[in-house]
Amino acid sequence: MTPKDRSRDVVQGTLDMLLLKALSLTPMHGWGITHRIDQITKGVLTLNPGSLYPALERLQDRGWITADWETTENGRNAKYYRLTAAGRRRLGEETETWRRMAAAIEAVLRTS
Amino acid sequence: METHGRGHRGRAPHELTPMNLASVIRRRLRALFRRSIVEREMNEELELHLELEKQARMRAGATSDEAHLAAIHAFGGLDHVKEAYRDARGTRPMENLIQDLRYGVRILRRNPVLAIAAILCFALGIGVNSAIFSIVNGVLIRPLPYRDADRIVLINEGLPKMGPGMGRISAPEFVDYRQLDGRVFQATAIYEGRSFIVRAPDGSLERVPGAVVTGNFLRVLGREPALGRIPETWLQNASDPTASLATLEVIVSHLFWRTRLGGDSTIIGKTMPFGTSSVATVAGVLPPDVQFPIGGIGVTPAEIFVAYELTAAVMSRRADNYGTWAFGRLADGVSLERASTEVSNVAASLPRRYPDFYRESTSIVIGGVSSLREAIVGPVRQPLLVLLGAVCLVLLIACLNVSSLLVARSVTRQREIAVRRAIGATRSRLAQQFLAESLVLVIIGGLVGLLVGHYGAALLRQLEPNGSLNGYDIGLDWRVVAATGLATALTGLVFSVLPGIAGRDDLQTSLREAESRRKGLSRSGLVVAEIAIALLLTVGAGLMVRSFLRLRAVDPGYNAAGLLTFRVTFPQSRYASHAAAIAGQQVLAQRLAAIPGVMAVSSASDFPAAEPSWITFTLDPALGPPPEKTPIGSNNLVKPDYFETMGIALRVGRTFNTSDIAGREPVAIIGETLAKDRFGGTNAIGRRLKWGGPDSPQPWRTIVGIVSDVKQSGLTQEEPTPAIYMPAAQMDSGPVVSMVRGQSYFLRTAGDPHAAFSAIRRTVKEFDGLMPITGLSSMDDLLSATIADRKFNMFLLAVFAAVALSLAAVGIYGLIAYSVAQRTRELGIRIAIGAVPRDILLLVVRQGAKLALAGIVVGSLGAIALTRSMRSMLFQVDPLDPLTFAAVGIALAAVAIGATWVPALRAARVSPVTAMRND
Repeated sequence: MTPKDRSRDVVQGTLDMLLLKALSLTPMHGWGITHRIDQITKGVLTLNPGSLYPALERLQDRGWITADWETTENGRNAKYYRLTAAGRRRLGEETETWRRMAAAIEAVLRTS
Repeated sequence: METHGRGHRGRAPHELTPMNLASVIRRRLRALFRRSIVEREMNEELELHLELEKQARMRAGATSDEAHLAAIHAFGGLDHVKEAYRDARGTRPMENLIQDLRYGVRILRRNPVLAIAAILCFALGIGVNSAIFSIVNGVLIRPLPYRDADRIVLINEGLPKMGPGMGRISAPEFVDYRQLDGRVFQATAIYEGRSFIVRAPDGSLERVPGAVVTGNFLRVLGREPALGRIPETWLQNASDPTASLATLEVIVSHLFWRTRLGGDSTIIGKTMPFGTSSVATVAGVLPPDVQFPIGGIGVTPAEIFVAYELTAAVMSRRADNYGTWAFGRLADGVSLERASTEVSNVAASLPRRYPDFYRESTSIVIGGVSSLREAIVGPVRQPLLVLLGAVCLVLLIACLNVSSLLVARSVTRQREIAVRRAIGATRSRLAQQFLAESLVLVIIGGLVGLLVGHYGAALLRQLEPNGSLNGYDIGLDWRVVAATGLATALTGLVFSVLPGIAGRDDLQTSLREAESRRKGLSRSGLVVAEIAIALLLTVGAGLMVRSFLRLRAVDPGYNAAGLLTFRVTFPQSRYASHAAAIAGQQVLAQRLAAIPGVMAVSSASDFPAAEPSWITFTLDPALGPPPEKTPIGSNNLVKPDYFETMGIALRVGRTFNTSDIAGREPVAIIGETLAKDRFGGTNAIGRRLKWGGPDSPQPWRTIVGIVSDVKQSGLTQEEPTPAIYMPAAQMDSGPVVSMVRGQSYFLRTAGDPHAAFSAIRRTVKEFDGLMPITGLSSMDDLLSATIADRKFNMFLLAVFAAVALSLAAVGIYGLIAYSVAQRTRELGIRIAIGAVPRDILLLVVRQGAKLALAGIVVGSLGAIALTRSMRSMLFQVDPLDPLTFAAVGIALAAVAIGATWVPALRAARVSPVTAMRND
């Protein structure tokens, strides 16, 4: 794998983790996920639909989330995504990895 | 940056575990087959997203329009997002392919002419070639059905004083060659063709082709019987060929076992009727693929093999009868040359060992060995290779055609390519698309081609005149089809992908008139090549046709119209003495003459339209010293009215009459060539000659008549045979007495000879119920059969020429049509400034004519160079026959102009307004 691929994977992996986390609380549709993440990070992270939906497809492929068509409060049809058991496990793994990495980087930064 | 301790979680992101494979497949399939639903869902989802984003902004205080715009902006380009979404579905490659195939079909439907032309080319190219090649494959290339066939050799002999080399040995000499077993050969055997009488399922008697062979025959071939085994008597015969055998044990061919023994698997050890009144034990059945000799044009495989006892009678004919084939299997490590030397040494020693037999003309014997494969395949090789050459040429034309058509089409799409590249299509995507379009063509063309090939091969096998291709395994060889299809497809694909890849990056230049000089030249070059090849093939076919017509018109030396023939034998068991046989033959002749419609009857010992019986003879000593080379001639023992019945003209003297019988003065009649060569023409009358060498016990015969020459071996015989005729009634002593027992009867009928067939069978049956008839046929049919193979070759070559012509015509048509399409604007302008339709017509036709001329010239040069290799296949036709060349040249020019005509007409009718708008 080239360095470019690896960094893409890291970014992708991080995105996946965020999405899984967002869905760990309640099932949501695409816009709902964007909105939730926007709110929590106070606008620091905005998910662009061009990255969001392909990522959601990928997560469905991996079996970590499933999708169903349901009705919103306003009576509109929307595709709701929810976490699976495997997804929940994956979320746990990714969270742990991220925390360890962050701690390691933090340690390095602290030394200088 | 490395992350440590990932452990089992160190999986690449795209790795699939068994768990989610099922869901992936499910989703892919849904995306493929429920595409419209999936699209609708995507649109709904994205629309909702957009709507909600807009509402959020409105809640934050923007107006409806502002919110809308902001939402779209945030979205980042709806179509872009859709594309990314679609890509993530993972079905993109498959979707592309389906889309391209659909597009390809649409394009082809819009240009049906191109599609049909290309498909036709593929179909003709693949189909015809695989049909013909499968025949070549089955006959020439397929291995002989013997173990290590290259180790099997033919033992030849030649006598320097005899005219043509015989290549066969005298059967008794086998005991001498056998002595080389162990040192030079693993095993040796001899073979003589015979026909045997067997009982047909309905009880009537029939003759089947068979052979007598010595016991080691199968060991030489290296094959074992499929059923049963090599019988005891054969093993006895192998160790001592002169031993007399107690029982008659035979080995039969698989075909014989299937058709006449009913495929009975318990047949081994049982007896079957053999001969007119005895039986033979079936000891073995050969495997289905083993034939000897190999079936071919004019050769029928033997069905029954009998052990060859070298009885005292046979042994006494040493050096007197050279009609036996001898074979050996080379011992390990022995080369062909060494074996040849050893055989030659044995042969040279024969006159020394048996001085009583080898005298005068046979005093020096030369021997050698040659490869069996060569002997079998050699005569057939040249015509088949010529055919194979034709096959390759036609395939080449088909490939060139498809390439040319596809290249022509790609040029007209240059603009489309440029525009697509400008809006973002990658080279590889374009190449993929062109590939897919060609795939459609190839698939359809290939399927049609396979059908053509399959039915073509079946048709050819049926049409083959002698039915002799049935002996070969000629299925539509899938290797052949695959190879041909692959070659055609590769060319087509390569030529269609090139334009997509090589398309110019510069949008501007591509949008301008895209036809570059270089491309136009190469396309024209392709068409010229096609025309040249078509000319070459047509000239070849034309020469063959002329040759065949010449052949058919040859005068055989007798009057074949209304003549029919058949053969019967008068065996010693029922006609004990020579006189009894002659008398019987007379009675049968009288009964046959009584059949209504029969105008004349006679008989003779020799088979018509077949290799004659050769003898040596001695000339009247009064003529001078004997010549250097021992004279040989054909010998036929005939009945008194033979010449009259056959319609052979008498030149001088008289024919035989009823007083030329045993006890009277021995007489003979000779052919005019023999008379001229040996006796100086008419001076032959009253001279004497005698059958055999100077010491032969045969009586001196007085020549009483000279008749015109007869083409005894068939119409293809070029040199006249020196012919001798003797009265059958006078051949009452000596070893040749048996010759008169086999008689070919000749009947001249009024009207169609076939009408008399059943009456003849009836008459013979009533005359002698145990006498089988063989070879009942009209003389015309018999003569046709002798030239049937040439007719077939001519037919094949003509088919190729026709195919090549059609392909060339298609090629020209395609090229001109697209050239016209390219030049529509230019032509429109010409018409607008005053050209009349006729001018346009001439302009286009001239373009085609130039191509045709170039092709004809190149093709003619090639033909001149190549047709000389056909010399041996032609009969009295010069390979550079001007009439054929001229006729073919004119025909090809006509075809080329004809192919140009339709696009030319269309060009002439172009309306200038439409032309200029059509950019």
